[in-house]
Amino acid sequence: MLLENLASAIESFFLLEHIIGLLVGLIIGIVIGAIPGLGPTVVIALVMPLLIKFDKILALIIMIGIYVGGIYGGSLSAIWINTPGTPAGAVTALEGYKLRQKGFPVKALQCALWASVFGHYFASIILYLACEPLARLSLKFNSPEQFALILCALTVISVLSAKEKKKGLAAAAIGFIISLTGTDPITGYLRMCFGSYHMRDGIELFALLIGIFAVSETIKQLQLLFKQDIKDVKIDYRRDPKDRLSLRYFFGKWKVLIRSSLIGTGIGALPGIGPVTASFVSYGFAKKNSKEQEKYGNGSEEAIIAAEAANNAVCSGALIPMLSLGIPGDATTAVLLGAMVLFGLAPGPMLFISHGPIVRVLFVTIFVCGVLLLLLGPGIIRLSVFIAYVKSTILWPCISVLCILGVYSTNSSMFDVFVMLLFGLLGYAMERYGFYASPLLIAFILAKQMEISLRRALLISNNSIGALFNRPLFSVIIGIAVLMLMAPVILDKIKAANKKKESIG
Amino acid sequence: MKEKMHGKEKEYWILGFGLLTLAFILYFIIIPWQIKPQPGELISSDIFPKFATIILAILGIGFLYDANKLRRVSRTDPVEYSTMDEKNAEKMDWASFFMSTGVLLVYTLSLYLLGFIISTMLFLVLTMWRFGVGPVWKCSIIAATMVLIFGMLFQSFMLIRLPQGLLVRMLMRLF
Repeated sequence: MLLENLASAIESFFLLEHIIGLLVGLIIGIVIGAIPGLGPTVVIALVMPLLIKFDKILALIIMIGIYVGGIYGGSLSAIWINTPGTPAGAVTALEGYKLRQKGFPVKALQCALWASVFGHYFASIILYLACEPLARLSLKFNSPEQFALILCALTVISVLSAKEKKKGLAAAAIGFIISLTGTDPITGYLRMCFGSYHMRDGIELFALLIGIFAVSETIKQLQLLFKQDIKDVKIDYRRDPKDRLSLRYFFGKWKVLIRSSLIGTGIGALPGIGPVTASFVSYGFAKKNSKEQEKYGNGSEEAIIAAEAANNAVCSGALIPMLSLGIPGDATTAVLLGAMVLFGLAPGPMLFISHGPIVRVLFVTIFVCGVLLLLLGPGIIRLSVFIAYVKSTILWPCISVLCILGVYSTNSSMFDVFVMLLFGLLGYAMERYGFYASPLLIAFILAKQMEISLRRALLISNNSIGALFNRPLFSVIIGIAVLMLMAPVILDKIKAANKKKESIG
Repeated sequence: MKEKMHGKEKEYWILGFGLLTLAFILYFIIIPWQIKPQPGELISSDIFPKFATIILAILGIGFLYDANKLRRVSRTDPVEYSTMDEKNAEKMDWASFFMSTGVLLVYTLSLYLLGFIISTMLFLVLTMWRFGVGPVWKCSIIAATMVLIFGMLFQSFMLIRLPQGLLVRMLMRLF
């Protein structure tokens, strides 16, 4: 059954426009991913208004290309200029830049490319095998369980994604409140519209997305430019014939590759953690079990392989809960989820029933992404030396224009542009105070569904919350949410008690 | 003598009072004013906003508790306090902040008044010149190219009408 479906999806995917779209997406993703500050999340948010008039499959193919390319692209600037394009490239910068300083940048770039492709494929296979069964299982969930599941996911996201749990939860609560503006989904009455007809449909998703992710970053970068804090870097490089990676060495690291890909897929599938944690966890494991520990910190190929396999596996891993349960794994998948909602493809268990063929085409896209990444690889490595020539002094004013025109173009409304600027300020303030934007965005996207589920559940139970706890699955999921919420507090208490014991001892 | 608050402690006080104030305004002013539960509604439309507001209030209290805990530690154990209190690495540079948000706001307003071509051209030339891209003529060439690209992308490719500008429309009507 799975193979039959795959065959028809392959047939639907192989159209010239889809392949060109994927290539364009990948190239945009790699180039932009290599520019510090402009990760795949910002870029997908920026291109969404441009793609809204495209065929939905093509638009999603381009976005997936940007997502996969963006994560890989982060490693290019990490290796060349010691500045990761995306936070996920931090470990690669740590080791890759050292390797470049020793005169082996191509070797580092090849490690990053091949490990990225390996991690990507490993997680894609798990994605393909796990997604549909998980979605079918969640079809058994009724309104109370759906509410509990979203609540649990939001709790996990808020607690795990922020350094300080309270900040994550506060961001999610603010996201909730923002999403509750507009028409009440059950009664149809207006809520928190302040008499404005612009607010009848609530806050425009584009305005929030571009504001929180792109405008806040633009404000930050413009600030640096005004302070003249950004310095252009010049790369001086001549290729050494010894500077290349042997396939024998690469596949000799099969244990590292498999372990890192597993870590990446697992962490990606857990909502709210993301590629940064995956690459650091994988790096830690690789170092602990390595025979060449002395090389770690001084430019280790193995470390780059571990980090890149893990952070690329996160891409497909994060798509598992997003496609099957409608719960995004990280900020980028939350933006992708927003895009799918706008295209009328609300992710979740029903997606596989109502739009099964489209989802399978997306699976094929993810597989083809890896092949294209390998084919483009040598060219990318050769051209990546030019990334330092992208001038921030030209780039950021142009991105400012693109943000404003992009939001304006969705409804031809200046109101949305002002809302976007407001969210830009909110995003900036949140980042300054250590709040993460992803719990806010994920709560904003999921809140309506959560509210509908809760109100329906209460209708079923005659307004009795107690009666909902008679449902075993509901109680179990809520129990997990409470446990996740309490776990950090309990762990802190245990740590403090141990410390006290040690000091007395 | 009044004690000076440090980075983390100050941040927690601000966040605690900020979230509590926000929750108070939402719960007692905005929600009753903007959401009117209808008679006969089994589950009221304000139940969910109130739920989120209560969470905000609880978190606000949590931040105040943390701030107070830090203050107590600062009095009893200054060594422990120095390890708990992380100061913000960077001080806020308000001048560059107002400049960067100001240019975005001015560009948005000028887009409304002067339309896409004039305002984008002005915005790009001025910012690039300020950032040291090169002399005005060089910035103008880059800006004109970008205006052309954006114009083609949005107007010709996506068939979206970009803002013409209030003043430009008025002038066109006059002449």
